[in-house]
Amino acid sequence: MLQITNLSKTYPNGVQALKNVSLNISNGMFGLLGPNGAGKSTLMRTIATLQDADSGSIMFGDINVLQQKAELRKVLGYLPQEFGVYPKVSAEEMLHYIARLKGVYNDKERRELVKALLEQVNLYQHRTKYLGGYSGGMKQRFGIAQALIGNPKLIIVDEPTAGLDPAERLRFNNLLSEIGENIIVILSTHIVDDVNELCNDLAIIANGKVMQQGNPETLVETIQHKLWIKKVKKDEVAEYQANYKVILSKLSAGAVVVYVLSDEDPGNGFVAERATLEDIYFSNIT
Amino acid sequence: MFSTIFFFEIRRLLQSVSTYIYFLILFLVTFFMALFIGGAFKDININLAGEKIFANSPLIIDSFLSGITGWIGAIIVVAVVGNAVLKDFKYNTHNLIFTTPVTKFNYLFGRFAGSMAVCLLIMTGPAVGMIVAYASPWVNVDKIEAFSLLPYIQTYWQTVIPNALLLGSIFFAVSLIARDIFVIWLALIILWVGMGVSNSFFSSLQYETLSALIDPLGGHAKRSISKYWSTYEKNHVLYKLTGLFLWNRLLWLGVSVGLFITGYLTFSFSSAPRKIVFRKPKLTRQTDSGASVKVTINRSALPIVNQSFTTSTNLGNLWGLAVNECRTLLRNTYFRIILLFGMLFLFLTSLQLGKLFDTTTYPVTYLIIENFGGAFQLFIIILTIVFGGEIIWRARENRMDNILDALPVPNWVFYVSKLAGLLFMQFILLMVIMVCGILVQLFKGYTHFELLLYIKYLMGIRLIDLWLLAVLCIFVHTLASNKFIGYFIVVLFYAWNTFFASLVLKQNLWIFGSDPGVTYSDMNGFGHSVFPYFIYKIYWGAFAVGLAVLSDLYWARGSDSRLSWRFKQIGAQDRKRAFCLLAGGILVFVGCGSFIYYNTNVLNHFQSSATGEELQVKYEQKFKKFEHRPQPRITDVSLNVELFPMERALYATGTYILKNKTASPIDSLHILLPGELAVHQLFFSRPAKLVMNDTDLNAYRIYQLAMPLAPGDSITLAFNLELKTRGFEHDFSGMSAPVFNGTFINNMAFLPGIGYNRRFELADNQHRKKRGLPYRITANPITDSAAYQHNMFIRDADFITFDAVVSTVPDQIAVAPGYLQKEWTENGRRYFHYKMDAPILNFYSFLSARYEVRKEKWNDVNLEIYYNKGHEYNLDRMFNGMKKALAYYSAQFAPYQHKQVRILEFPRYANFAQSFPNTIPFSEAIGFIADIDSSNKEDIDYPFYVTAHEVAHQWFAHQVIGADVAGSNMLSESFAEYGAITVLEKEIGEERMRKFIHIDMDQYLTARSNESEREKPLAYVDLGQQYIFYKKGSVIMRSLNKYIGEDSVNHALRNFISKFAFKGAPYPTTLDWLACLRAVTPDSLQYLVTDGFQKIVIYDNKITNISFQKTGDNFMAEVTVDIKKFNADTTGKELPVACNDYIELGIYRDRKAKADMYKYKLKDGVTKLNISLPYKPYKAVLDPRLLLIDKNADDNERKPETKEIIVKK
Repeated sequence: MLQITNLSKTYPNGVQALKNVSLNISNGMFGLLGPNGAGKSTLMRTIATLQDADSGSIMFGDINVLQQKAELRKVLGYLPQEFGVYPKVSAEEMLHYIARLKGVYNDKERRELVKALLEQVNLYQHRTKYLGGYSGGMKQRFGIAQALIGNPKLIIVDEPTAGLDPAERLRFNNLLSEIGENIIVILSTHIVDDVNELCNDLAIIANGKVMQQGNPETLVETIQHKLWIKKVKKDEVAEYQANYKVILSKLSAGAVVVYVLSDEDPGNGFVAERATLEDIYFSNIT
Repeated sequence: MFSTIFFFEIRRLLQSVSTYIYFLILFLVTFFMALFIGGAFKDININLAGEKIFANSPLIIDSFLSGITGWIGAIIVVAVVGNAVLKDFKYNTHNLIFTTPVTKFNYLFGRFAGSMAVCLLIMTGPAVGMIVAYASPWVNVDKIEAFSLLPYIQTYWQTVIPNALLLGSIFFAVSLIARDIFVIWLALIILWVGMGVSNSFFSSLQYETLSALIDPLGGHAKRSISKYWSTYEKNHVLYKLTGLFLWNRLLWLGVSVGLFITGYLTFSFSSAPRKIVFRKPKLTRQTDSGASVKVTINRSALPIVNQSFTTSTNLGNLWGLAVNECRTLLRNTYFRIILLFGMLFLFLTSLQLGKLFDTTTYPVTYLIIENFGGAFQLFIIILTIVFGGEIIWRARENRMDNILDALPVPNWVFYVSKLAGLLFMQFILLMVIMVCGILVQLFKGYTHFELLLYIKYLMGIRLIDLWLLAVLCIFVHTLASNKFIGYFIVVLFYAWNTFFASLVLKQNLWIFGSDPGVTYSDMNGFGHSVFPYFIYKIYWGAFAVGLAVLSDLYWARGSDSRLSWRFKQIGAQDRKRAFCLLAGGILVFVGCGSFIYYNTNVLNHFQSSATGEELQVKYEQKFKKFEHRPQPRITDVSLNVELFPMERALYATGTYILKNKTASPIDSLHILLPGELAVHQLFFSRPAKLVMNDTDLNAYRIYQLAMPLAPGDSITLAFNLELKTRGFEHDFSGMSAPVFNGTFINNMAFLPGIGYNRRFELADNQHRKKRGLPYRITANPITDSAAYQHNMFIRDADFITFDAVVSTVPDQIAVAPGYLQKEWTENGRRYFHYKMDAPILNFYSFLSARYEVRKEKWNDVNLEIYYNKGHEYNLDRMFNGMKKALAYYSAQFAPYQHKQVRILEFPRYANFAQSFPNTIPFSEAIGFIADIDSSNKEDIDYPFYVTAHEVAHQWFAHQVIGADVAGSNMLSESFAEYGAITVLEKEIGEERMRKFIHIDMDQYLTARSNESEREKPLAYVDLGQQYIFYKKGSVIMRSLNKYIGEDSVNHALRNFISKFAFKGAPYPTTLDWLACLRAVTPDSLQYLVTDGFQKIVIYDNKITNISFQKTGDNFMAEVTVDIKKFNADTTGKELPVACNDYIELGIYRDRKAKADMYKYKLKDGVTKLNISLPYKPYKAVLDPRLLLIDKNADDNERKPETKEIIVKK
């Protein structure tokens, strides 16, 4: 159980990245959904012990994360949003290095672990190649392999699919699909489908605030039958935005489809639309 | 288009802060150095070209500006010009630029010209700094002459601008070819090292022209022009762009153009940055073959592993991590290049190993280590500094830190593993020295490998210093906010600490990484330098522990880089541990520091030179008035000296018999004792009262005699003294006190002297002026007949009788002058009783070591060499030297006064041999390990030569010694040189002797150009003017030998000795010698005596042309000679004088044959000489035997031009 309570953080340049964030996260894959700049990475890095908050607390079980960083690191697996690799080191060598740092002291066990990990993320045949030559997908797979070293109880995966092509993204999500059993995995992303595919619990975060938290289906259920769409001309969009609660306007064959949230049928040519998680997302960030 | 790019580049650079920082750095460095030279700091005296050269003379301005712009400037050229094109690749703007219609020519020239222009602007910094410094009120006005802009302009025009263009072209071309900033830096290092190598390689006289041409910055060319310049010329003459200097400039201008064109041609507008590939790249793009497979990670299928986070696991992991770090460093391509280059450098320098007299030594291990260590040290330091930054910033630069920082690893594991990686790298580099050293030894056929010494010297001594530097580097980089600031701080600190700290801080307790110095000697090993060395290193090691703890506490981790945040991250437990360690470090640091201070400043008297000078001033002020007070002289010495090598102590009891040789009664006795001495007893055979005991500088005691000592009467002085080394000193010294093995100590270091001694006065007249003392003449005038009563060495005695018992530890042999009367062992000590049968000077030495002895005989004289085991190489040469010298001198000058000659090796704490009565201590550094290849014409048998010189002193000094007036040094040193070179010439032949004399002449001419006071004629030479009484003396004496004849000169010497040997006061002067010499010199050659001894005469002779015609069977050669003769006055100004002197001309039949000699009486100016020859002349040489001191001997030689032969046919 990860309890985040009233976490706030303001950077020296005045940007308020987290505003009173509170979350309770239990075992399973937890999605942290939000646009770029919402404060996702700040939150992730704070949980991952890489920076401090100004106020608030994070408890992971008995571990007070902000005070007992060393303790948390022992049970943490972290795949940062942005990470590089030493270009002239092989994946195998690097995993050995990290395994050692994660306290896997027995040579034989470490060798077995590294081998198993490489096989699981399908990098075994590339194990002796330099990381500098890896493609984006391979690099992310290497990233998840290193995060899995040493029985982590908490895995933080920060925007892993950003920059991957659709096929790579799919493959990567497949990899992740079952790692959340019995432990907490926090996946931050700005891609709604990632959460849809992987998470049983999620929070939407925007401008440093938690907008909504819950099970994807439950959340969708809250706006089911409240979503309406209409195809309008481009120059009419502003007018609709003034009059309705427009959560999204999408181009469609030269015209614009506006998505509107309303308990009642707004009439005026709007038709009902089946709500998806994406709609929840957009309703929270606009 | 060109102008757009050109001005854009200039504007861009002028808007960049770094441009101004570079300017400021150059400005400040020059400003402060100019203040140093300009005498702004009282205690710091820097002379670049002689005391009398103005700080703003053209010579200094040139050497200074070209030095700064050539070295520091080179870095700036790399940063500005090297980056002019590279930055487009760095910021990926090349894609934009290469797709515009700009031409390659405009682009490259625009960038080059623009950045070069700004570079030249930056390079005005030093000139401005210098002008401002000299105009400031802080400089000493005596050192500055009136301002003139001309020398600055000329220096820029001739040196600074061409050098900047050369460096700019090199680095620009490299940047175009390699497109990698690292390669450009590498090119700079290669350039520097290349310059260093050629420097050391071509330093000898025979390569002078070559080295002048190949020095890219032109420094050698200028030096070869100005090295014989007089003070006047140095202060007023500007370099002319002619001769070698012009050729040098043209050569390198050509090279720069060539390089630029090469770079230009290889550059193309392609966007793919080309990298130099050293091996097949492994960095290929991987195809992602897992594309279609659907895989899911199954965590439960992963093997269960045990994790442990205990300290012991961390420690266990450290090793692996450190190896990992080190492997990464070793895998670095640049590391490998630098290493390879360094090894090449080592092998090249090994060819010059231990050169003395242009002759190498055997590659003994300590020399290899010191030589290699010195040369390779720079590489290790560069690598440490570079990779010290690299290892810290690598994770962050590769953005690996996000992963690593969140791992369950305490800071100290990261810190220690990185540090260990760096330390390990240094270790490997030192191993490289060892391996290369052994290879070189093997290659030279030297198989006495001292592995243990390699390990001790490299791993025990060198490595510690490097480790300290590594800790410092990592500390700085831990705190620095970016890598380049880190580098900047490290380099700045290193430069300060190495070059300036000791000048400013004086006490080495404040100089990071300091120690009193270590000198290895084959005889004494590391001797007594080991203990203080390690105490100092523990002291600095504790300091390094402090740095390490701070590095750990402030280890950069996470995304917040503020130091306060970093500190907050440390857990309470860790913090406590860190503080404990820190406290421990501080405790050891302070403890060792106090211990060091106690040793250097309480037990011993470390004083800055300023304090020392003050004491000298006081001594002079208090006691100078007693200088001419009549004192009795020592006539008999009887001693019992107990040496304790292991305790580094000695006990001396003994008696002097003092005799009043003056005409008046003496009522008080002045006794001067070295300050370190403990005086247990000192009493006279008659009642005397101690009325004064001053111990400031040394112990000055005055005893009042109850009854005055009547003329002719004697008194006995008995003493019981103890010289004990206490603790260790601030600077390592192996002389003047017993050492473990190889003690060499003379009587002045521990026995009482009688009366005031000028030796202890402050000698430097500039310093005297600052401290308010009157001008001090360096020697009494030759006409001061009162001074004839003393000899030049010892005031308190004439000739004495000598008897000594010396004792030492059982495994050593102790030696003093005289013949061994008896040797016995008693109470576990070994005793030797020596007694001298002939009168000697009151100057004797005691030696003790574990000697091997080899004995030979010449006639009835016993020859003995006491040497260190393993140093047998040149004993035969030394014996040969003794035999030839004894034979020649006793036949030509006078009989040898002793029945024995002994050479005794002493450790290389000093590099000289010195002649005591029948005893010649001889440093292990100057002959015992010389590797003389008899078949090599260039090698000089200097063990033979040094031996012959020292043996000659048994006559010249120990038989006849000059009075305490100017010129007397000549009577011992020039004559000893004469004896030695005459014997050597008979040994090696006139042809090979020429080189030796050429070196002497070159050293004389160079040194006179740097004379700080005034050059004296040989007969009136001062004590300090070694270049005259050794170098000029040997040339002049040899010249007399050739002109007047060996028999005549020797006859004069014989007369001189027979008149004055063993006579005591009054002592002879050079005037007496000249009288003897003139008596044997024909009238026609009397001018040689006047020119050689009483004037400063220099020639500048040359052959301007040689041609020949065939007449019948013979050839008629016409040689045009140009004779110039100068007489230098005391200010150093050289005035042309009329010449009508005998000068030799040698004509060579071919390359190998000996010359046919012709002697002419030549007037100054141009003369045509016609010589009928039975052969076609190969070449003509004016004064081929180097009998005249010629400013430029190179133009004395000419071959006929072959073209003319064809024409005349």
